[in-house]
Amino acid sequence: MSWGKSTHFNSIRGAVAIAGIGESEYSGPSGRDSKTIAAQAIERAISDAGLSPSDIDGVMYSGMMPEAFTGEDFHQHFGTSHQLWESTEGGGMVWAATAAYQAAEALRRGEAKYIVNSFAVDWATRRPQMAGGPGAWHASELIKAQLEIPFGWFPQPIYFATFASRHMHEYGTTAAQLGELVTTFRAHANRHPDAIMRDKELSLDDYLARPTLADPLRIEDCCLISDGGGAFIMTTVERARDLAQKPVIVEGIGHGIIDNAPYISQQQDLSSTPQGFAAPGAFNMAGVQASDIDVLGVYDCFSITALMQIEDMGFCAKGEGGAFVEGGRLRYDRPRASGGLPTNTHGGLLSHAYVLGIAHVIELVKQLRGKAINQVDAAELAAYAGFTADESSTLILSRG
Amino acid sequence: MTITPDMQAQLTAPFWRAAAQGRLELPCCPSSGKLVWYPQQSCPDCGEDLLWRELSGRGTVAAFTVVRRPLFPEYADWLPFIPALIALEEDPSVRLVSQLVDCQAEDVACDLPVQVTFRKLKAGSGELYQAPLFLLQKS
Ligand SMILES: [Zn+2]
Repeated sequence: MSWGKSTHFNSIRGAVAIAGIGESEYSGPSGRDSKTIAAQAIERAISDAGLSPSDIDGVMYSGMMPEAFTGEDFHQHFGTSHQLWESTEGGGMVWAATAAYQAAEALRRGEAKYIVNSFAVDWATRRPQMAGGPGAWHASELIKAQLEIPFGWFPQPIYFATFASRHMHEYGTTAAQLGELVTTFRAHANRHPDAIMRDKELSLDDYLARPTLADPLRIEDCCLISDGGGAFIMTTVERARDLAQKPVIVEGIGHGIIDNAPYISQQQDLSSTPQGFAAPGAFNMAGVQASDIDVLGVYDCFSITALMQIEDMGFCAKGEGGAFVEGGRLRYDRPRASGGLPTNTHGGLLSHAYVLGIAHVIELVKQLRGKAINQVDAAELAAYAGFTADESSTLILSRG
Repeated sequence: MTITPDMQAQLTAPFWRAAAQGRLELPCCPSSGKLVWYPQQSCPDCGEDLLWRELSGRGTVAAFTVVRRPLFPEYADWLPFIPALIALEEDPSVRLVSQLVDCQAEDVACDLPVQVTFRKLKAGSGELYQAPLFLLQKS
């Protein structure tokens, strides 16, 4: 039975290159606000590309985020006043992948030449007031407020603990297997100077000894709450070749959504994600398959959502994700040629920073440039799996 | 944030009014009888006004968790508690978000049969409300 659908896209293979990347500092509560964070990341992305602010004529951000860095913010920050193409279909999560589609259209129509997409959060700083943050939208939605929250099915860790129980029931997935994924991402963060959990080592025994928050999930299975952000610059491949960095090329994108969205309590297959509706389109557009991918960035708001998406993208058979991640298979130094699948080589949302996927894409660009801290040998093709619970997206990138 | 079901919310109040009287009622299409969940303004298939219908209260555990830490302050008094998605007997594709009560966490498993019961809940500073919760059925 089908329980979701794929979004149709015309092919944009080879139409967009990522020509610049920039990141803010990542931290816990820092007192910075999200616009300041975004501005820092955008400045660094522009400089990385070898451009100047007046070259940027397109701005993308997430319309879902009231504090997003808009075109008006761009002019105010950089003291510019030129014509800007603007799109609210950007940002992090699923849009960190699908932003390339709107960018391709704008580039094709000549509406913009250099487009910056940014995403930033200050949720660590704002957490004490519960103003904004990941739970706020869920609490304000009528059906969730009336028919889910009164029963205690809230906030997000509860949703995915519930999904994890189903995955364990159907497939025999174990806490130790979730722990393998968690500790591998942590080991990546321990080697990564920008990662929030850089200095906090975590062995599998440590993980298993930790109490559960909501069975079967421990705090280590749940994303951090962070201040931070990132930005990347998109242009045509031809223009990118004249800039400072070796271009990274968008080969494919995909997007899938569940029936009954946004209500994941009604998702028919509770041990899967809509990534199964997103990845096939992206692989098809790129003319590649899962086995061709050298390095993966998977949205890991929870360990179980990363594990399920690895299955749903076809890196292993459905239900075999638990066994697949065992034995350090997701480590950066286990390339595909030796049976590995290097994944979240920066540490992910679990151990690097919770910046909702923008840092995953930036990490993949570094990998394809050959400049990552945890560099995967001969990385030529990368995939990002984006997620918002009821939606998933996929972005395939290649070394230009 | 205060958690009390809104008895004036047109889409969802019939659920809570029935629960207050000890009945589990969900909306359905008046012609086909098919459950429409979550509630909508009208039947998505035929456009007719939905009819609220009493259900058997039987179902199975589609999925669950045992909440052991105060992830949300309004639930702190409930710990530990067992939120569950209940697949309803009349249409297992319909999941009721609810809780399992009167059971040990280690006795709960997916796909076990359950039966509705009605209990008063109070979340933090909110008002008391009667809610349809579920018991594991004795085999
Ligand atoms: Zn009807």
